[in-house]
Amino acid sequence: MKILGVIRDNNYLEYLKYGLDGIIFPLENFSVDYFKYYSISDIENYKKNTDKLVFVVINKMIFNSDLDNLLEILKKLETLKVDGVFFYDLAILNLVKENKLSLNLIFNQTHMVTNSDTINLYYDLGVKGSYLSNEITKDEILNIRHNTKSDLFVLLLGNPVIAMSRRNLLTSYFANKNKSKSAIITIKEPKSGQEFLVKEDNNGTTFFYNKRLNLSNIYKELVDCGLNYGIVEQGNYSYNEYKDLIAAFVNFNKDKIDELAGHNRGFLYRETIYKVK
Amino acid sequence: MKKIELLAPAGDLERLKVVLLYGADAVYVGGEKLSLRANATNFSLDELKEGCTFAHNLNKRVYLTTNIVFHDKDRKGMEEYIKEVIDCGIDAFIVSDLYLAKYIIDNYKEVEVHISTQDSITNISSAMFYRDLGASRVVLARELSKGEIKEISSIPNLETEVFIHGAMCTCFSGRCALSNYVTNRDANRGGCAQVCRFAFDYDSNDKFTLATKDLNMAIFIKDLIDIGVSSLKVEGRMRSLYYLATVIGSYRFLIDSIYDGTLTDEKLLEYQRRLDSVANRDTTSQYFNHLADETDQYYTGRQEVSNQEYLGLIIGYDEKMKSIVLKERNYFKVGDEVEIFTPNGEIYPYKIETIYNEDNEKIKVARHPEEILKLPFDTRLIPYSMIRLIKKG
Repeated sequence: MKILGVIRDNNYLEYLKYGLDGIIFPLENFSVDYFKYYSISDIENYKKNTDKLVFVVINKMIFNSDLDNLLEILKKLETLKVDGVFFYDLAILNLVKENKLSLNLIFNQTHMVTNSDTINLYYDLGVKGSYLSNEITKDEILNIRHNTKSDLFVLLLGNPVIAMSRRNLLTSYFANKNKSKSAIITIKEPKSGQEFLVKEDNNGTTFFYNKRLNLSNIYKELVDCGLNYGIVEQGNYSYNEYKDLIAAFVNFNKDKIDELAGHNRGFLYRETIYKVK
Repeated sequence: MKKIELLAPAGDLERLKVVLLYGADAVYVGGEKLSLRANATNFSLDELKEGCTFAHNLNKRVYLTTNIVFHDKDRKGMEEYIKEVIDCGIDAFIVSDLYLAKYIIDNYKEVEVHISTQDSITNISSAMFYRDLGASRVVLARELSKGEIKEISSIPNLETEVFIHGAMCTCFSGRCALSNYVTNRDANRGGCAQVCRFAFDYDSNDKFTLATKDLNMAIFIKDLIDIGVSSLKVEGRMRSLYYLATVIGSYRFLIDSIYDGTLTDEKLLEYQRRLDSVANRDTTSQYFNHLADETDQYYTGRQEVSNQEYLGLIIGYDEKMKSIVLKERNYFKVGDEVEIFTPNGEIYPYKIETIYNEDNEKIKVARHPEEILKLPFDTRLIPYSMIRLIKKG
């Protein structure tokens, strides 16, 4: 399994030497649900400095006014020969097809990458990679691996994205309270005790789970089953912590990972219900 | 030019009949599998068949929601179920998952595929992708402005469906798993617990809320017709008969009056008031004219009010006593001024002077919901006529 990083500080080239196989770049103005965004020139700079993998995220909802710029961006990414583009909106697939762009696309519809048939359909449509949803079980991950040819990506470690709104929920909330706005806040659902980070930017508001997901306990199984890419996000780790975390995945050391990241296994063993008796 | 469609929700067979009688051109329902309202009273195959027959006899249509984001195990029996519901007579599927959409398009030319709002279609290019796949209609994201809706509605050979009334999601449909994380109920498989209506602890003095007001587009129906939208959709498969009758009846009136050029400002205001009277939250037009902001949100708790003006459902006529027979819903008494309204749009102002109970005894006050009562009235009314309170006596 190749390990990909999502970097929050400015040292993105630095971390490559600790064993990352590549970096995922959320593209500014065209991606949501991240804490740091990158420009095309950041990606150009990366390409000049390393041969390691580079993936780009374009996962915002696309509006008509975005379409012209989006096509230009896709053409630039084709020229840059990035290794893949994570996409949410089907406009991207449509534009790539219409313009016969040579871009490797990765199906990345946050909570909706949950079954083998749909992944296979995307594969047949030319989408050769899929970033699995965090809300599926371990058995479902293994089953999808067994049933598909698609390159599969999972979040090995990071704060799962829970929800995304076009609304500026923090601006509205603080305006209503007549208080100065914070760009990120932490909220807690009192009955369940679950905490969420709420972050607003120009594209709306994202909710993150405030407990890191850590799949270290099934890492070996994921490797053995042939899962292709694991994503390790920096989140709020310091330079040294994140460096240690990368090393602990590269030279697999479960105890070290758990020491740094805790034991939240998400939905690996917890199937969600949808019919309430 | 084809007249715009009024599309209504129905959580069960009785609601299906009510909304079609009150003027919906089509109805959307959930079946026992693959629907995003897993806890609604969804339709069995027999009910679906009866509903389709009822609708088709009125020259109206039935759409089946099969819009869950399925997991591998939900796949079991999918093909058989699709065939069974087509045999029941449905006219279209409302689908979210691309695999399921393509499966139906490739195998069943006799039904339409509409792409669910769960896919949050927000631009021309993604809408064209679905058209080229073979979908006949896209249900647009609720986050779009008038201009954005107009541009997508200009795509040839593709219908657009737009929500006009009812509850709103705070987040993009399909892009929310709050329910999964807080209650372990899967938002994208029909178990949404509406966590966006919960209050969250933020600091010691205050709660953080993110709930939205409801949608009401009554004053913009003409705009939606003018910009080329094909279908106007009302939310609320689990709403009451009275709510559905009032909302669907009101929009039927507005649409017809716009087409025949008779809608006046006074009438628009009257129907706007009528719609407000059955709402249990404040309403706005959300994104239609501006990016939704604090005026479209709730910050003072749930603010939901129960509606007490629905007095009864008329279920028959007593020829001997020359009285309508009704099933009581809410308290009323002698002296109250009410309106009796019918699915045909007829409205009869009426002052309650005598109430009989089921034993034909005179009573002064009706205080037991579900009680069978009679009110003297000269005319036999069609089924599903209702009574609403106008002024307490």
